[in-house]
Formats: sequence, C-alpha cells, structure tokens
Amino acid sequence: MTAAMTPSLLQVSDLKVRFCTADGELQALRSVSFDMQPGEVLAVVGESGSGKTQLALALMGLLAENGSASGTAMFQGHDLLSCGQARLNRLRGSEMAMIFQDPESTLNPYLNIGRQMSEVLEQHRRMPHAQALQVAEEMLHQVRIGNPRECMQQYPHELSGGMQQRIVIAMGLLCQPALLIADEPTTALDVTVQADINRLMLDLRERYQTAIMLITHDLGVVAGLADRVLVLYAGQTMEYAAVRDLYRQPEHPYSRALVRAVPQLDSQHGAGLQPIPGNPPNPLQIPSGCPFRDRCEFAFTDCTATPLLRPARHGGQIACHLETLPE
Amino acid sequence: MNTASTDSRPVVLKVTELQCSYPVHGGGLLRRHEQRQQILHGVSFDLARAEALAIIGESGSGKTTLARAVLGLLPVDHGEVSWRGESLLQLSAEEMRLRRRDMQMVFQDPQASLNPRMTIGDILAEPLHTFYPNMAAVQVRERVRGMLKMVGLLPHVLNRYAHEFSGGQCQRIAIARALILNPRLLVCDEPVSALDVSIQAQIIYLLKDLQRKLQLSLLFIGHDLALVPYLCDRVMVLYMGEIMELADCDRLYSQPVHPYTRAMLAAIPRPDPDWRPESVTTRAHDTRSSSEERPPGCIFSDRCPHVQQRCLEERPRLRQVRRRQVSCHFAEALMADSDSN
Amino acid sequence: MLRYALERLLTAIPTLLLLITLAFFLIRLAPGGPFDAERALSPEIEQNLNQLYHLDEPLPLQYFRYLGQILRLDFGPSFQYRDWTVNQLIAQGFPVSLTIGGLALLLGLLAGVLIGMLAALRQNHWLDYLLMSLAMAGLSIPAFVLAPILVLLFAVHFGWLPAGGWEWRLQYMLLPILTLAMPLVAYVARLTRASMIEVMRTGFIRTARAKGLPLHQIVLRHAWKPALLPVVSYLGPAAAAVITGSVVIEKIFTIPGLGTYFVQGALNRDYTLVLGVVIFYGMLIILFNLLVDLLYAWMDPQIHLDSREGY
Repeated sequence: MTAAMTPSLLQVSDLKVRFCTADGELQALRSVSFDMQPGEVLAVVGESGSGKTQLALALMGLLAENGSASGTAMFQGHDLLSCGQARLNRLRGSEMAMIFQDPESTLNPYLNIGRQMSEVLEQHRRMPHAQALQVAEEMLHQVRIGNPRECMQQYPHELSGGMQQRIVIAMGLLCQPALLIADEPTTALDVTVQADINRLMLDLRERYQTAIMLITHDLGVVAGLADRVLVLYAGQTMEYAAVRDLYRQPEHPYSRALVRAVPQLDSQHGAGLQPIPGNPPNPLQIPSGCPFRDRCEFAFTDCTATPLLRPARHGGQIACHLETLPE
Repeated sequence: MNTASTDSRPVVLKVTELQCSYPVHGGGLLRRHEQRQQILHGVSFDLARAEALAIIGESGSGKTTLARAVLGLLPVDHGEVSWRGESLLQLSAEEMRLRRRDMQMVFQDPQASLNPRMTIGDILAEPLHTFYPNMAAVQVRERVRGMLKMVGLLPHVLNRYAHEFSGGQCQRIAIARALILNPRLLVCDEPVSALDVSIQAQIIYLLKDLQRKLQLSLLFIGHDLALVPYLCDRVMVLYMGEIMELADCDRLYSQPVHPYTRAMLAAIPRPDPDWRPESVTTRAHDTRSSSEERPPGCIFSDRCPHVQQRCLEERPRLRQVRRRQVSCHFAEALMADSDSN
Repeated sequence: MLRYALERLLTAIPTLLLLITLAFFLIRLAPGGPFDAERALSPEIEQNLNQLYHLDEPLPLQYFRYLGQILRLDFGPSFQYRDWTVNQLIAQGFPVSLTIGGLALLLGLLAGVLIGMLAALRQNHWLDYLLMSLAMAGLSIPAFVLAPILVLLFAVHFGWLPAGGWEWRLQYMLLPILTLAMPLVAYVARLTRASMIEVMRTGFIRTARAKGLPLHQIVLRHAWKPALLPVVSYLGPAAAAVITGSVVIEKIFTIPGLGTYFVQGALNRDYTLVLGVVIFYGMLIILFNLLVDLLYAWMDPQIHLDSREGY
C-alpha cells in the first residue's frame, strides 16, 4: 500500500508477548506483524486488554519483569527484541522515544524539569550541562510553552496536565528521534488541550520527520492524525489498513464497530452512537477461533476456526472469514 | 435567574447562588490564618423530576465540587440547595444521611469505587442492610437479583469479586448499587471517562434506559460534550466555577453561542480522516496554581477569540438570551453571526 | 523554612513540659529514696541531707522549684556522685555516648541503605535472599546476646579487640558500635529494599529507562530520593532506638557514657541525675526530629513547610 521503495524504519514480524502470572500464562500479543516507514503515523487501536500498550513496551524493552517478547522488531538495522541492554540504551531516548498516558506519573516529582530534560542530551549527545539546558529550553519553546526558562526551574506538581504532557513530548523529541511512540497521550487531558497536543504532534512530525506510533482506544482521535491504522483485538491483528480505507470502507466487522462507537455530533442524536455489545475477553481466557465472534453480529459457523490474516480488498490486511462485510 | 425547564415537570432540585471554596494554605501551626480558594462562584440551576442535566467542564471548572456540594458532601460557603422544597443545608448529619437514600452517586473509576474484598452480592446488599435493617434476607436477595437484571448482568456474578470484571461490567455494578435504594436523584461523576469508547455507549444507553424507566432525575458530570446529547435533556457548560451557557441540548448543539462552548465542541475529535484538530485555545502560562487573581472582566477573556475591550473590564452576568442562558456580553452578536451562516 | 523551624521549637515546649512532669512524678513513685542504698544513715544526717536537697518539702513545691532550675538549664547536683552536678556528669558522659551512638547510626544508615539497594536491584535473586535472611537475623538477635557472642569471638577467641572498658581509641569503640548498629542496619536494609522496589516500578523510573539512561544513572539520579524518604522518616525513631540501645550496650561493655550514669542513677534513686538525662535526651530527640523533617522537606519538593496545601 505504501511505496515499498524506501526501506522500512521499523519492521515487526511475528511479535508475541507473554506474561507468567499467578493465574497461568497470559498471551498479551499473539503474533503481530507490521512495518512503519520513516515519518509515517501509525495508529494502533484496540480496547483495553488488546495488547496495544504491551506492543509499545515490548518495542521499548520496558516489559514488566514477568513478561517476555519473541519474534523480531528490526529498527535501524538492530533487532530491538534481541540486541541487548547496552544497544537498547543507545537507541532509547535518542533514536526512539515514548510518551505515556499519564503525564503526571511520567515525570519525576523529585527533579526539576530542566534536570529531567538536559540529562537526555548529556547522555546521548555528550553535551555539557549548560548547553543541554539551552537546547532543552529551545525545545520547550517549540512545544509552545509560554515561559520556558521559568518552566525549567519548576517541578512537575507545579504544572497542569497539559503542560506536563507538552514537556514529556519535548523531552521525547530532544534528540530528534526517528520514532516516537505515544501511548494514549491525550486520554488524561481535557478536550481543548487534547486538540492542542494532537495539533502539536502533527506540526512536530512535519518539522522533524519523526515517525509516530499512536496508541489509542478511540478511533475518533486518530482519524485526522494517522496514515495507517492497525486494529488489535485480544492480542491479534484484526485489520491493517490505510486510514482513509479503514474509516470509509472497513472490511472487518470489529473495525467498523469501533468507528461507529465514536460519538458523532453531526448526526442526529442516537443514530451516530453504536456500542459494541459485550466486553473484550479476559486475556487469560481467550476463546479459540475468532476472538471477536461472541460480540460479532455476523458470526457464523466458520468463525470457530481462527481466521488467518489475509490481503484485503483495500490493499491492507484483515483476519476475518467474511468475504464481504454486509451493510 | 433560573429558567424552569421547558416542560411542566415539577422541579425537585433547586440550587441557588452556590459558592464553595477549599482551604489552600494551612498557615503556620500557631497562627492559623486560613486562605481559601473559591471553586464555585455563584452557580444556580434547577432540575425537574425525570430530567437529565449534564454539567460539563474541564479540569478546574468545579464540576465535581458542584456535585459534591449538592449531595451535602462538602461545606457550602454561600447559597442554597433545596431538594423537593426542603433546604438541605440546614439539615443535621443524621437527617442528611437519611435524605441521601434519595440521592445516589456513580463515580468515575468503577474498579476503585467497589470494595475489592466484598462479593458483588454483598456490595449490592449493603445499602439495603444499612437503611432497612429489618428487611428479610429473601427480600434482599430478590431485590439484588432484580437490580442485577436491570443493569444487564447475570445472577452468577453475585459471588464474584470486582477485580474479575472489566471496566464496563464494574460500572454496571456501581450503577446497580446506586439504584438499589430506589433513589430519586442519580449523580454520575464522569461515569464513562475511564472506559473504552466501544463500551462508553453501552453505559450511556443503560443510564438513559434506567433514567426513563425509573423516572430518575439525573446529573451527568463530564469533561466533554461528545456524549451528552445521547443522555441528557439540558446541558450546563461550566468554566472556572461559573456557568458559561445553560440550554436545552437541541438548542446548544444546533447553535452554540458562548465562545467557550464553541471551542469545546470544535475540539471533539471526529472519526473522519479529512478532519484536522484545530488548536482552539493556546494558553501560554497554565501553571497549576489557579489561585491567581481572577480578572475583573470575563473569566474566559484570556482564551476567547472574540475578546473585546469590554470583556476585560466588565464581568458578564449569566442572562437569558432567546430561551437559553449565556454569560457573554456579545451573545446576541454571536448568535446573529451564526444565524446568517 | 526558618519560620517553620522556630514554630516547631515553640511547639516543642509543651511536649518537653509533659516529659518533665511525667518523669518527675514517675521516678518519685518508685519505692525508696536516694539515700537508702548505702549503709544506714542516722536519721539526723538523712534529715539534713533531705533538707539540703529540699526533699522534705511538699512534692508540688519541689516540682516547681525543679522547673525553675531547668529554665536556667541547671539540672541540679547529683545525689550520688556527691561532688558533681548533673550538668557536669552529662558533659562528661555525653561525648562518649554521642561518639558511639552517632557512629552506630551512621553505620546503620550507610550499610543498611547499601544492602537494601543491592537487594532491591537483585530482587528475588540469591543475593537478595541471602541479604534479607541476614537482615532478619540481625533484627531478631537482641543486643545482650549479640554482644557476648562478639566479645567471645573477637576479644576472647581471636584476642583482636578489648572485651570492654573505654579509651578514645578505635579498638574500644568497634564492638559497641557494631552491636548497636546491627538491628539498625537490618531494619534500614529492609526499609530501603521495600521502598526501592516500589520506586523502581513507578512511571517515572520507566520514563528514565525509556530515555536510555544506564542503571547506575537511574538509581543515582532518579530513584535514590524517593527510595530514601521512608528511611529519612525512620531517622527519628532510629535515634531514639540508638539512645535506648546505648543504655544496655554501655553497661555490657562498661563504657562511661550517659547510659551508664542513667542506669546507676535509676538504681540509686538519684532523682536529679535520672531526670537530667531523660530531659536532655528528650530535647535531643525533639531537635533531631526537627532536623529530620527539614531534611525530608528538602528532599521532597512537593512539601512546602511554610504553606501546606490543604486539599
């Protein structure tokens, strides 16, 4: 679907993430493959328990102690899953950065903003402290913080949620990484601030050519931001498509249900809002066959067999037994 | 000041000129000169029987404070809250406790609001035991099962614990607990904000269904305007402790007047690949300490795209403009503007 | 900060007054008097002595007289060490006790924090289990068991260190300090381990890892402050524990510190000496707790001492 001439920035194949828990083995991701081009915005969409956050953490090497990842994730010639701590530390913060959902808990409450930002440059660019502070201040200006100098002296608790998230974004962009992973970056923020932050990410992507992996449960948020969308359900890829195709002609019942679940104010009340019945499955007990079939209005006998990921008509991929999605 | 809701249903809750504040500086241990930060700056509204009113505001707007003050969970500095003609602020603690049977609350984080060490059955039965200690066990069980069915859960959940359920299911349980005493007022504080978008609609429809069926009065507290029209009859937009606009949903959504309402509507993301988020309001200095001096003029003036000199000098009063209440000097002009478009 | 400190010192006055009152009357409740222990004195001499020290006056009067004395920071004459005032005794014994106690506290903190951090970073590894088992042992062995074992080992068996007594030399300090520090090391280690494990799981440590910082940087820049906060708040009780511990230790190793005087004073109903030591230590603990709170506030930027947020 994208011109495959340029080499991929990130190529993930057969990524699996498992956790050993007291209640048994939990498969958070069961074979997910995708690729990202330089400067591309990929939205990873799914409900809670879909494994979307674990996908990001696995790529960043930040899985919890009881978790393990298998498969390959080639990023700038290195396999992120097997390259080892030292290599990973050279890439993290420098070539790839991550933004977390809750900016409040992302920032260290015991250090001022200046310290937390400058250390990235000192670590990766071997910059002297004074110079690092200067560059950090300039980056705060880039994310439209009114008084960067004052902000550098402040501690996180003195700042609003929107400010904190701007700072986290600025921190991620300091070394101008090739890939920025943003896990629900605006979920904890007010709507007007959310619009600001989304706008900001688009602008920064234009300026620095940073590829962005945007993780969310809300298809409303990513429509105007993403180039492609990867829809996950119970740790599996349901649909992988260009953003226009996914919204205009989704081929998987789950993708369409997600699109229709977004409240739309333009339509008459009641018509635009369609809940997906039921609840996402417990990751410890994923049913065999298509994981979505209990909630799918088109489920039929074939769905007891696991659908394989296959090429879709829109040029992407889907995992569904339906030939065509009925209206 | 209060516009009665458009129909003739009797008003059950009447809030007049409510002011609330929090202590901010405890002072020293010896000289305890207390400073208070005012959260609500004179909020008035009323709520009719079986009516659903949305109170919408961003962080710092005072929406949660308002809900708590109405339920008597917070001291009120000034103003009046009356429930079915009776002032709630004069009641003793015990009298208030009994009134609270009529007013129940659903919280934002469903998992956190359910006791992890109690079974769902016990959680649902507890309010009955508290208020009706003489109720027979059979009757309690009957009522609990009936309530479960009403919120769309199966009886087998009774012996399980909150952590075994997903967010949406927990919220159903929380709603069942709130309704088990047959309240007349249900206050929902961001009941779907912690849920997946796909599940939010389920809960909204469930609330709407129950509200109609049980003729409940409903206060829905939220931080955005997206889901409001699916559930509520009227909507109040709150900004920094003041009402910006209060109107029927139909009117407000078809023609928002206050610039803040418009900004909030414009910011709602659309599931449309051609839509780009607009940077509506850039506030350069938003430090957390909101104890700064309030400007003498309009509280929204520093973010308003239509700001004029008058907005900086004179505080607009909440006033009636064509069957809605708006707090803006230029409401008529803004309306005419959108009429002509 | 300064205003806070002054306020805290002012509020310490009622606490101190309560301490003085309690101590004053409690010791009087104990049977016997200061001049009973030695060979029987003639009633006349005893009466004279009582008169000299105002012990024949009604108790409330004695109490207020004593308060007046304390205001002048004068703890009065010792009943037992006849030619000494309590102030002089404190001046003589305290440097010894301070040296042993202070060094034990320092050792307890340093070793405890180091062990705790190490165990936390190797959580559920054999090293963690080993260190924590040792800590458990350190906590459960009382000083009067540990001290003889150490003496047997290092003084009697190897003959490296003296079994007791006091000179201003390291050999004489080593065993007392070690005995006094042991439970402290153990407790601080467990405290540090628990809080360090918790801190390493927080969002901001995850951020630090996501920034590509190496482990030592994460610990030295991001984790140590929050991880040590519980240890800092334990400093107050730790100081009190060292003081009570030193009473036993000084007795075991026959060290002429404040603790020894205190025990002697208590046995001999040397009212002024006991009261003097109790009040002196009371003031010390109050002062120390204030310093700890200031330290805590310095470490945690979310705490404002002069204007606490009150939500």
